[in-house]
Amino acid sequence: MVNTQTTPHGRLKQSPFLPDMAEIVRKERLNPTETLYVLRLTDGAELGHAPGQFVEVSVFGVGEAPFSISSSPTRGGEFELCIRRVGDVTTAMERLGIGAKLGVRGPLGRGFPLDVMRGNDVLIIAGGLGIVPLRSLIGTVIDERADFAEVTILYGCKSPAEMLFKDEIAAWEAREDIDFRVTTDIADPSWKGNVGPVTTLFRRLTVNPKTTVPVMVGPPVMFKHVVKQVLAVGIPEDRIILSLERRMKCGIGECGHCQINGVYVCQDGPVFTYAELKRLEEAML
Amino acid sequence: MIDRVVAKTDLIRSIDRLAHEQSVFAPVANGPQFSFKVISSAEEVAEGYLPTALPPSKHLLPPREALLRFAWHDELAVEPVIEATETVAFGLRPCDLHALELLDAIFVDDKDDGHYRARREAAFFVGIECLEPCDDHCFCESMGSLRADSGFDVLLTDLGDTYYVRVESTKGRDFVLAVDGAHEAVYEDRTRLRKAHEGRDAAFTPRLDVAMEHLPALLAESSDSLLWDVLGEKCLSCGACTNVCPTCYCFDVRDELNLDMKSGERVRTWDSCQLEEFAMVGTGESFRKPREMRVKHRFNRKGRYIFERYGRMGCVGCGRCARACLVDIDPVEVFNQLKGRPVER
Repeated sequence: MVNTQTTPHGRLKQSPFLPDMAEIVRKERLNPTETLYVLRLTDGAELGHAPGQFVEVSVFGVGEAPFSISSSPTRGGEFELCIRRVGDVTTAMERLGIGAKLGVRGPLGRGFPLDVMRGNDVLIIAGGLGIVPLRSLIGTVIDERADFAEVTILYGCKSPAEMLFKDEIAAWEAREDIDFRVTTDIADPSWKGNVGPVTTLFRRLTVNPKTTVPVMVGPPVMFKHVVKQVLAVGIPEDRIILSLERRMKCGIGECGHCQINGVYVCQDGPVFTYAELKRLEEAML
Repeated sequence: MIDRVVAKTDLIRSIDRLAHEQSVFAPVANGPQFSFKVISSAEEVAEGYLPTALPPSKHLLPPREALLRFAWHDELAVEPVIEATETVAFGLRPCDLHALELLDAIFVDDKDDGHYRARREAAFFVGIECLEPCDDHCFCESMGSLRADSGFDVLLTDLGDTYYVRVESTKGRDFVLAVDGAHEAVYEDRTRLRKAHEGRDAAFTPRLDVAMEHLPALLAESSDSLLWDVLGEKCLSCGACTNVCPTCYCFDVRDELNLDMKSGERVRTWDSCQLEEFAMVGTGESFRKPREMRVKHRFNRKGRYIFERYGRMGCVGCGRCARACLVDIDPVEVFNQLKGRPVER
C-alpha cells in the first residue's frame, strides 16, 4: 500500500512513511503487561495480511513501532494486535480509548509459508510472546482445517500468569482435531499441567519427519534448543520455519536496524527457514 | 552529448552569477578542513580540496529530516513532507559521485523514497575529476571510483587555464552553454584530456592487496578472523566513521512535538550501527552487542552486504572514515590485513 499525494504541479509524490489511519474498535487487558487491541482501517478496507506479517503502528506525537498481527486474515475486516507494554509507543497505546486514531503501515514482511504447510502435518511451537504471531496462523489453520494433516500446538510460558488467550486455549484444547499441549517454566499452586521448558513437550511427541512442518516463534534461547530437537528427528533444514524479532524503524529495508548479516528481517523475513538462517551468525540460533 | 571547453575565469563568472540567483553548494575551506556550503560568490570555492569532512550525499539525507507533519485541530491530520530546493552542487569528486549513484540505486530505484527522490531530482551535479591522490587515506582507485562515467550533469577536468567539460544531460548542456566563450571540444582538447588522464592513471597506484571484486568473498571467509577482536578492542564505538561515510544511510525515526502540543513532525535522524542500542529490541536483547561484531558488521556492509544486494560497492575509497577515526582504524589496513598482511596490536 503506497500512499500518494499529488502536488499542485500534478506530479506524483510518494512517502513510504505515510500511514493509513485506523481506529481502536475494542481493547482487552489480557494480563498486567499485555493488551489486545482490535483495530479497523478507517477507510473500511481490509488490511489484507498473511499470517506472520507485521504492521508499523503510529501513535502520533509519540512514535512508531512494529507489531506482529495476531488475528487470522480468515476472520474478516478487523485485525488484532497483542502488545506488551515495554516502551513509549506501547505505553501511549494503553492510554488510548475506544475510537482513538492510530497510524498503520502495512502489512509488511514475509509471512508463514502456508503453501508448504498445506497437506502436511503442522507442528506449531510457541514460546512466551511467540504465541502472538502464531495465533494468526492457528486461526487460519483452524478455519481451513481440512487443508492440513495432523496439527500439533506446543505452548510454553514462564508462569501460568503469563499465559495469553486463556479462553481460546481452552477451545483449542477441547478440539479433537488439534493436539494442543502447554507447559510452564515455573508452576503456581493452581497449575496442574506440565512444568518445564517447551522442549519437554516435544520429547513426548511422535513426529513424522517426512510430513511435518515445524513452525516456531519464541525467544532466542528457545530457538537454540527446539531447532536442535527438530533436526534430531530428521526434519530437513529448509522445512523448519522460524519468525524472528528485531529492532525495526522503517519496515521497508532502509533504516538498517533489523539487519542480520546481509539479510533485512523486515523485508526478507520476519519468517525464515532454518536453512536460510543457519549460516548467519547474528541470527543467534 | 557534445563535450565543451571553457576558460576557468569564465566558468567562475558563471558560477558567481548562478550563486546570486539560486542555491549553489560548493566546497569551501572550513578551518583545516573543507565543507560543502551554500556560497554567495564563486570566490568562496576551495580549489584542490581534500574530501569534505561530510560528504555531499549527506545533503540528500540530512542529519534531521521531516517525513510527516501531523496536527490535531478538529481531527488528526497527517501529511507527508516532501520538499526540495533546486540546487547546483559544484565540485563533486568522483568518489562522491559513485556514492550518490549507490544512494540513487537504493532510495530511488529500489525504495522509491519520495523524500530522497525529490531532493535528488532538484539537484544539478557538477563533477570535477581528481588528477592526483588527495592524501594517504584515499584508495578510490582500488574501489573503482577514481573514474566517474555517470551520475553527473557535467564533469570538469582541469586542463590548466581551461576546463574540459563532459556533458551528460540537457540541463548540463544548458549550464555549459551559459558559460561565456564555451566552445566545442576539438582534437587538441581531447589530446590534452587524454594526457591529463594518463598523468592521473600514473599518479594513482593500487592501495589494496585484494581486487575489489574479491572483497565480498574475502569478507565472507574472514568471519572468524581474530582481526575483528583486535579492532573491537581498539574501536571506541563513537560512530564518527558512519557519520562521515558517503554511503552510510542508516537512520532512526522519531516523533517531535511542537511547543503547542497540538502539532509535530515525524523525523528521521542519522543513526549508527556502531552504537550498542542500534540492534536492541524492546525487551532488552541486543543482537549485536559485542563491539567487534559491530565493527565487523560495518566492514561487511561496506565491502560485501551492499554489493550482494545492489551490485555496487558500499565503499568508494574516499578515506573519510580513516581521517575521522580517533584510533586510526583505516579500511585499507583492515582489508589488507584480512588478506594476510601482519597485524600490529
